[in-house]
Amino acid sequence: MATKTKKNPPVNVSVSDTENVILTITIGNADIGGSEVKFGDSPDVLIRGKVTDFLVGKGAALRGRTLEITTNVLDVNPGTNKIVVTHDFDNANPSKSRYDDSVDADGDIYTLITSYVFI
Amino acid sequence: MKKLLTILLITCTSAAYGQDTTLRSLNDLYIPNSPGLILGDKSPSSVDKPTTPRAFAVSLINLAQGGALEVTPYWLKSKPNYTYTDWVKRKFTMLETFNISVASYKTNNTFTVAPGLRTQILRIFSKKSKDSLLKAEAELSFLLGAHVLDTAKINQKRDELRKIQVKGLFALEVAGAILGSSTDNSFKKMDLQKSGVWANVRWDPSDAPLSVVGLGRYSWAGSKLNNKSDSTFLDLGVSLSYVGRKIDLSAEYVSRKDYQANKRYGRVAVVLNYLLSENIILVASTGKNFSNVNDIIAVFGVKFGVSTQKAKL
Repeated sequence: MATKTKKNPPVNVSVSDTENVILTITIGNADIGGSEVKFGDSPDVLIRGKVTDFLVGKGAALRGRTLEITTNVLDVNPGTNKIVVTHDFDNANPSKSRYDDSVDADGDIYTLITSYVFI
Repeated sequence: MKKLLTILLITCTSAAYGQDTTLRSLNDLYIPNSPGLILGDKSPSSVDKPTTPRAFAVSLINLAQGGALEVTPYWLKSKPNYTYTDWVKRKFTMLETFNISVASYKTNNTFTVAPGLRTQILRIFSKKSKDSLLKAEAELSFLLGAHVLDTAKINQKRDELRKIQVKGLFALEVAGAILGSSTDNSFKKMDLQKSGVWANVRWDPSDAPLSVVGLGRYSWAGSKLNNKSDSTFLDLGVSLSYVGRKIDLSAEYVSRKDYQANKRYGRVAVVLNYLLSENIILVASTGKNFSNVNDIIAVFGVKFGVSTQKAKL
């Protein structure tokens, strides 16, 4: 079981003061994945594992903070070694960030490290 | 006496393994993974598995020089919204599992190509299996969400997942392949020399240590250009496997209709494993091959040997 790691540059995400920002992480290609979500200025983990409709916070409280997301994907689909991960923010712009990559063999793990700066 | 017993034991064990290999090789009740590669009767040294449409096109062109190719077109393009949960719940999996395999061989005089298709039309997990798969997925997701990955636990959970995926399901698969040969490297004068069609129904109940497989297979060999037929068979078979705590029993029966000889005959094979202790398995096997003179392919016998591997059909 090999692990491939990809670290992406931070993405600026604009939010509105009054609206709640909600995060959903989708692991595509019928693979299995889990994520660790935390703010860059805190050691506390907000959520771990599957992330669906997770309330990150109100826009006003998020502005100026960085959200760090580490997503690990286990390639369980024998039909493809491609990996696709989508980070979906409700009430934010951009609302979707899609990451495409691949692993070398079935059973490998792909680690995606991303961060979002709320502005 | 001790020497005689040792020789007898070694002889019996060797004979047992020889016969079991024969029985195993006779088991055609499962559809081959790559029908195109199987029909060519040759094992390609490497199989090209393109992951993009462009790579697929390049691989196809390369086949003209000889080689092997295997691809599942549905996954050539990523499916960002197709989750593992969707895969478990989906019953009609024809597109996702539609697989193309092609092998080609080139010599000085001839060019042979064997394309094959395979797909799982239907796959229904029992409620128990579905629940177990989704539970295992959630557990794996949690493990994959850890700051430091516990790869040993992830591996263990993935193995559990694989085991659940083959139990508690009903599946219908079909496959087909043809083999053609040309003496002038042109498709116009390609002579169809072999063809085969497989259909396979599998039932693995989740609450019983049983597995039932039914197979229909049509195979033809000859020369279409010369209007010559060497063999035409229609096989209908069934296999039953029981895996208990100490006993494994596998049995299969295949009825063959030989259109050339206009005759029908059958083949039967049975393998029994009994786990005497952790390292000792008693094996008994017997069978009768296709033949109109009732050829026995393995004389019944109980074999004693030290082995950690169970013989399987």
